[in-house]
Amino acid sequence: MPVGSSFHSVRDAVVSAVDGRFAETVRLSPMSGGAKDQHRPQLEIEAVLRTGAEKSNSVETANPAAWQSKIAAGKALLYIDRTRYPDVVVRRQDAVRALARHGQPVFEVSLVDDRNHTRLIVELVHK
Amino acid sequence: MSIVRVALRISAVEALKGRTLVGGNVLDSQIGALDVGANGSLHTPQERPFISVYTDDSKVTTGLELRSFTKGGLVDIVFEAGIATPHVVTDADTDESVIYEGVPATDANFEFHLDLTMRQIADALADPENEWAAIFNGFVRSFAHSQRSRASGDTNGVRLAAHQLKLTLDAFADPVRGVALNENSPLAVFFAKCETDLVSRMPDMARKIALMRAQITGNADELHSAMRRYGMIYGEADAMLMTPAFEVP
Repeated sequence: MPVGSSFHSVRDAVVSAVDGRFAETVRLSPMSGGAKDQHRPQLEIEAVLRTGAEKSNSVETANPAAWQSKIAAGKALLYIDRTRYPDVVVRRQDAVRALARHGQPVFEVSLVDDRNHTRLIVELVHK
Repeated sequence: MSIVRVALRISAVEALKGRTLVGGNVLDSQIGALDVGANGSLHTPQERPFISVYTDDSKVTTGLELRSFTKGGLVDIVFEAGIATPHVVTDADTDESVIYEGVPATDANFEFHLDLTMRQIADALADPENEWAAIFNGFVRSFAHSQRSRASGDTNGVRLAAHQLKLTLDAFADPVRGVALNENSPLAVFFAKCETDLVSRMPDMARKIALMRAQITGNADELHSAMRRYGMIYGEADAMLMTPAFEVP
């Protein structure tokens, strides 16, 4: 019995249904050495962007007592449907702009998890 | 003690303004977190690479006598320079970011910016043409230690790097209440400079100077100033034969 294929079709159906309701337009701007990457063009995609609550952290989280300065920020995660965008390549320090949000906030990629079943999971920091 | 700490901090902040890569973004004792709005094109002046100045721990280890609490002792003055991804200028179309023209916001360039800023802090404080630095150094008998540390990370919602310079200095004592300030004394020069340079753009400065002056003005009786200097009560001064003979307390 082809268990794998039926599981994949259910997975794809779930991802597609969730994205249909929660995905928003974001613009990926691939970077290389701080400038735009000549080999990967800018791309607008529909993906689920989740932004966490902002909070204040010491600039040195390992030893906050030794430092006075604090900075406020929140983590964000971008979930890209790999079935819909099979060719998209995301790397650290690429930029992501949330075009549908107020002020069009921009983020920077800090981590890419490409081993997940369902989606490409991209961890973002404020930019 | 306190008045010299205030003067050290304010003169250090003013000595650095406009003399480093952060321009005027030199903050005095910043407590709250530096926050950056979502709209990257609407940066307020604080949402930029910064230097924060703090007067931190201090310790008097010798010469306290009875209660010479006006002594300055060893004071830590801390300079923290930081730069984070939201502090850089991002192009709205390409999303490319630069710290300043031609220098992209890479990890290596963050570190470069901070190292150069720290060098500029050192230069600004030792610049013979910098009047505020001269005032700052007027409160310092000697510098005991200098310590550098760094921090960086990208796991808390921003990619940031920061450098810290902690100078431990031997500060002069606060003036004793009631002793008139010599007009060439560091504190008198500091008050005069605040009045000419700062009062016009910082309305609270006039009031703060008035409060500091009020704390050190009073009668100039030699006995009382000596008692205040060493923190003596009348009986102690009397026992040390400092009080005039036959005076009724």
